[in-house]
Amino acid sequence: MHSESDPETPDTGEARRVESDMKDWSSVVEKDADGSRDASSTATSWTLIHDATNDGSPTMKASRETLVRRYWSAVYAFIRSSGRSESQAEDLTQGFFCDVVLGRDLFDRADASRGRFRSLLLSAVRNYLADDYRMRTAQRRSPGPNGVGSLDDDNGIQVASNELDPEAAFNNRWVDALIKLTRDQVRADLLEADQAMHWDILERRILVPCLTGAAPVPHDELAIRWGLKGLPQVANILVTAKRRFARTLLDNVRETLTSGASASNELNELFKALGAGR
Amino acid sequence: MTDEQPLTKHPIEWAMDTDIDPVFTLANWLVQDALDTNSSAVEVLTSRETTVDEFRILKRLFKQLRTQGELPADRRLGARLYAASIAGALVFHDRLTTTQKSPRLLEAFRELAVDRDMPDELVELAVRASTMMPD
Repeated sequence: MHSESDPETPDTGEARRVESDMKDWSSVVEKDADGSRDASSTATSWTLIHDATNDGSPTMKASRETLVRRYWSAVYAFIRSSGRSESQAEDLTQGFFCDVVLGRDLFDRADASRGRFRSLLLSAVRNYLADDYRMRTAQRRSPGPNGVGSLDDDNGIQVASNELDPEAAFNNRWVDALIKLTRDQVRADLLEADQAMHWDILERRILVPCLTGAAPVPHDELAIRWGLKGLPQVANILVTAKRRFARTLLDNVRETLTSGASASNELNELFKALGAGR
Repeated sequence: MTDEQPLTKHPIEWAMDTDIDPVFTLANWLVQDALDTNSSAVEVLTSRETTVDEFRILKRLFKQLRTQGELPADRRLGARLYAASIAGALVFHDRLTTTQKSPRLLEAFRELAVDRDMPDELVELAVRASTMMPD
């Protein structure tokens, strides 16, 4: 566990509580992969951050879990693409969330600055890895009982096994998380509004093809499936649902930005960064 | 957690369209979905390459938008582009694709021509179509 040697890790009851909260984040993340949801899973980032730092909130723990689940993949991808092995990346990711995100109340600082949350998290994980590297280097250089450590030691860093550079890997997973969140929110909203047909058409004609490369289900097939009057009606239902998805996605992006910043610009920047990092 | 593949290989860039061109986004998506093209609604409606059959499809699409659009602005846009679809077939192929009476059609073209939210290309199309209508 990375927190053992980190001087900034709190050593109070708070640390034990955090440690308890962090008991098994891997299982939390895997639960999300199964598609199960809790009440806070579709809340926006700043809303969650506010709740996660509110000691009096009955949903504080759930909000923390949701935040960790949402951003675990991006942080893990950054660390893994930095050359750490799979198991090292898992340990470091867990350590990062335990020590930095929850232990050092990163979310409190995020709320205070209202800066771009992606940059804040990226900067924090970069610093965390630098600290980890310095700590490991210092340990190896210290003369131990078996003599002087070698400067040629790799300090646990391997040749990168991922095609993406760390920041691109982070951004890639960041976008994935945004899209997954948006998908869940739009699905929940449409089903709640008795618009299962809208969701089905959006999913089969747009989302699944975009996300998996599968062919879109033809208009005629969807018309028969839902008893609609051919292409015009299917297409109109589709674009209505598609617009809802786009607006929800932009809202979710906006929730991670400084007030007034353009969500389109942020998305555009992310997409360009993804293209450049591949 | 393992090295699973990211959910997306190609970003959903179309989501930005709603910020870039809120008025015509819906129409562009409709046209692109129905005709499997990357062109915009205005480009397709003002192109002589668009076939009569395609103009008929566009007419049906925008008629649906005119009657069942989610927002009042959608329905208004549907009415304008419904008229533009008929105008396009008339101007580029000399075909009248509707059974509507001339006065009603002329009024639809006039409304398109004077709508300040409509681009110049569609205004010009409406004016040209008006001059081709039988007395």
